[in-house]
Amino acid sequence: THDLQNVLCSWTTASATDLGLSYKFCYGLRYSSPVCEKTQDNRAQMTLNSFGTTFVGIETFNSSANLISKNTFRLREENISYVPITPQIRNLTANSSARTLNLEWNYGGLLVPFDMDATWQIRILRKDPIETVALETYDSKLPGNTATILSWSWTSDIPLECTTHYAQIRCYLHLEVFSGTKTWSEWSPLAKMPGQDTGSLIKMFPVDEVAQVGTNLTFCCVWKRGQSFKKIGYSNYSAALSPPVRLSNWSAVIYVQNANKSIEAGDNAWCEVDPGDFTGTTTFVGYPPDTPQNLSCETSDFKEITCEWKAGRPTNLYSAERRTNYTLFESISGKNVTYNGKENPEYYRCNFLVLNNQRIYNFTIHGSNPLGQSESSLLININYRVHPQTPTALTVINNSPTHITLAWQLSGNLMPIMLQCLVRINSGGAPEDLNVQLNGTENLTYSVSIDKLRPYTKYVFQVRCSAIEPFFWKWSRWSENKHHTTLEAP
Amino acid sequence: AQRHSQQDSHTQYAQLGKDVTIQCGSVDRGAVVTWTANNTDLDASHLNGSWLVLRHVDLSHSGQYSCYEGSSWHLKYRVNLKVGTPPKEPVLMCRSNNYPNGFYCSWHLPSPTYIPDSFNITVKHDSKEIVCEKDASPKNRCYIRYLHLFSTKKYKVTLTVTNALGRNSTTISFDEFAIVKPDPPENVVAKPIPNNPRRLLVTWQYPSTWPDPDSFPLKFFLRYRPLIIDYWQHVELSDGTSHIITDAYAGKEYIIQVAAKDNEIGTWSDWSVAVHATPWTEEPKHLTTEAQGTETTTSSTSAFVVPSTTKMYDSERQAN
Amino acid sequence: MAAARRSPGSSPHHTDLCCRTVLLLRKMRADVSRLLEAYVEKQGLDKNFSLDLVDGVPTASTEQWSEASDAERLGDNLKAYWAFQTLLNEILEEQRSSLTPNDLDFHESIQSVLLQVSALAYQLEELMVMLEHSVPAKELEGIRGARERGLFEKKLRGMKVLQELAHWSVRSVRDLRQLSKPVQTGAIPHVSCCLALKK
Repeated sequence: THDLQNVLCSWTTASATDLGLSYKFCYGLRYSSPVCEKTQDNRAQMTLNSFGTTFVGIETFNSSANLISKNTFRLREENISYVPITPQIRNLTANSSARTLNLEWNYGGLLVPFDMDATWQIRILRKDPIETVALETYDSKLPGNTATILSWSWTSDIPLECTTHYAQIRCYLHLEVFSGTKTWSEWSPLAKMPGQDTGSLIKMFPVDEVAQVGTNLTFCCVWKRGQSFKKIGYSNYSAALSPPVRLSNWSAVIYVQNANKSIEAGDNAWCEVDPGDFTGTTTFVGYPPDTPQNLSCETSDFKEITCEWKAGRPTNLYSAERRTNYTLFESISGKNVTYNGKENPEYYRCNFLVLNNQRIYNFTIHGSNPLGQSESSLLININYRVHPQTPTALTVINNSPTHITLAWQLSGNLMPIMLQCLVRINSGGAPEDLNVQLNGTENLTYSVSIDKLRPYTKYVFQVRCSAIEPFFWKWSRWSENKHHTTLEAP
Repeated sequence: AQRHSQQDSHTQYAQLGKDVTIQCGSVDRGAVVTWTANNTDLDASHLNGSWLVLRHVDLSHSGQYSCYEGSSWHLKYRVNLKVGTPPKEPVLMCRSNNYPNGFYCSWHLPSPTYIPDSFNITVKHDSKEIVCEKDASPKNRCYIRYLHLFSTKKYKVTLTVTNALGRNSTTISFDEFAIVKPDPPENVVAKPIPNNPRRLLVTWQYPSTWPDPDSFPLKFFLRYRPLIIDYWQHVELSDGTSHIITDAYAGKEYIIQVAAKDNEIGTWSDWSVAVHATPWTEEPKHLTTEAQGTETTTSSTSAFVVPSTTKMYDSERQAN
Repeated sequence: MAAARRSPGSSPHHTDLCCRTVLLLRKMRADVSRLLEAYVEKQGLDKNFSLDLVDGVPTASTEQWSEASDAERLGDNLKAYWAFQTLLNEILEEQRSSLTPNDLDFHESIQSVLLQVSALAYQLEELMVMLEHSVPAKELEGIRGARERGLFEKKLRGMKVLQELAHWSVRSVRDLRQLSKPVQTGAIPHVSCCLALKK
């Protein structure tokens, strides 16, 4: 039975010589009047009786309608096998770049009377002569009386264009309530996903693929009717190449084991066919982005935060289509900035505008390339990440034999913080360092008075600044030297 | 007994070092026969019934084998046995010494097969087959006319050699420019220049096989050295067919050769035939000829005009 | 084949221009040969690849080469080098954008050949004007089918461009030499190219 309602019975007859046989098929319970039907076939249908015994009588008549035999059977549920309806593949689609076949099917367009567990077997076939390349099992629940579309996808080991792929499905229903034997349904008709090996073009697949170091690559060549395949070559001569495998009349494939890094312009696989035709494809073998390293963010002026990081292991993948694209996300504000600087710098840098009234920044640098993605995060309080710019425009004002005022400029509005500046005073002997604390200002200018100088003496002044503890992060660079000679004593 | 020999002769080939079985024509295998090799009886140890079995044949086994029905001494079968080898991969070379008219391909077998071989050559360019006109002699050469010039498409030449014992082939492909190699320059002449003890004038001519010197000029490479020194001096000349060597050692005999190459493409020719010359030397003022003749030998394999001031000794008398 | 009409006399300026063109051709040929070698290696190609089916590149191959007129010679050369300008620009863009984005030296060597081809086209055009030949129209052929081409086809096309350019540089020297050859009518050669230059 397919539906726990009707039972399909079939039988064989000993004397199969007389072709004109006909039958009278009757069934019924013990004390009920039988239901009968005449049939030329050796099959008939009856209603399933889940409880007790069903009595079946089959009378066989020859072509001259003479009764030649009469057989009776006792059927109980255990003697009946449950064969699920053959599932129907409703849709077979392909995603060539991902090399996936996507199946959508239903339970033969019918409904199951109640919820039940189902196991599906999906078979993928290809090649000429056809052979099974994958047999996968998939468990699911079939809700009772509900039209259900199920889906499943399969990733091919070869590009789908290489040859026509077929999919077939059958199911097994876990029918606890049925005591008879339960079997798999029939296989569904083949659903076909045509390949490009139709004899109408010469081409190699995949086209310009990006693959990861260490994976196995597949290259196939399809060629035209009337051409004969010669060879598939691969330019990375150190690679382990399988001999070509024929997939069909106009398609062959080779496998490259454990691919190693390709050259910058990509390694080539090419296909030679007679008479004198030639095609090929390029493949880029590299790595997914490594976790961004040494992520560090700081500000020098409370206008912009500069984040820098290192890429880590080179990916060996270049150009706009393949290089690692970095994006700097800030989760608190939800804003992000895309890196569009030079390819492969030693340090990557991104500038992120300081947001009003936001001191805490939760940065995530996200890198992605065709092989994958990776990220690193950093939570900072920019007050603790001030790296002042190099002091500039050192000038001496209020010059006297023993006392001067040294002024300089620091760009950026450093109002929010207290600065410490180190003034290095050098007059030929051991340099003397003067550490002064200053309030950050908006107008860039800072000054300090220095006394106890020797009259008429040559001095060299240098300055660097940083935030004071506990906000210290980094010293600025030393300023340029400022040469100055104090006035002569009066 | 007189042997009747009206039987026509067959030919059978056998591979060097192998065993060979010769059947007595259609005679039954069990029949009693006698075999001769070049009319010399062969003893029964070679027979397997009426078949003749020769082990690990070598070239000396080649010859005429005759089979006579034992009782009637009647010649039943005669065969010429030829021992040889299947052809090895032939060596094929193509070259253009008369660019841009065409190029010839020549071939040979790396080792003899001792049996007749037949050669078949196919030339393809731009996926079209081109005729290779066989030369009357040498036999292993044929000539291809250029239908196109300056083509980047490669020429593909396949030579197949077949004989009774096997077949082999080789294929080469080349670019039009790569096989251009002129013949060496001809009529190389080297002469001293009077009153110039360190100079030699060398002249030569285009190889006669080079068809169009105007449109396809050659450049030349001159090498020279005194016989007593081992290393050559070289000079490359991009035009003209003469050169004056100005740094010759006085009085030393020089050996001189010239090579040629197309100005733009191809490879250098082989060196020309070597010529010898010795720079002009000063005639001693007061000496008489008999007492101290300075020996000047100028020999040149080509036409050589003796300058008026040079005293020559006859080279034979000078030798003893 | 158009009769080779030449006005008598070969001015020193013609000869100088012809000389400079031949020198440029020889320099370019050397550079192109080196570039081709580097190109084949950097693209992972094989120098024995058959490029016969690669189209869209002016082929130096010609049949009745010796019968062409001066105008035809110079015109064919000029059109070819104009086309090579476009093709080399394409190659440079492909290398910069997607094949060897980091190889700046390589880009420079392509750029250098491109400049030489541009100079060559300019000098050929100048020579045609000088010799009173009508300069062919410059067909601004767009990049045909560049988009659909896979990277491998682009690599092969680049190799074909450089191969043909190397052969064109040889043909051009021969063509210029033909200009300086007196035709059967015995007219004085219009230009005497200083083809036999000291190395």
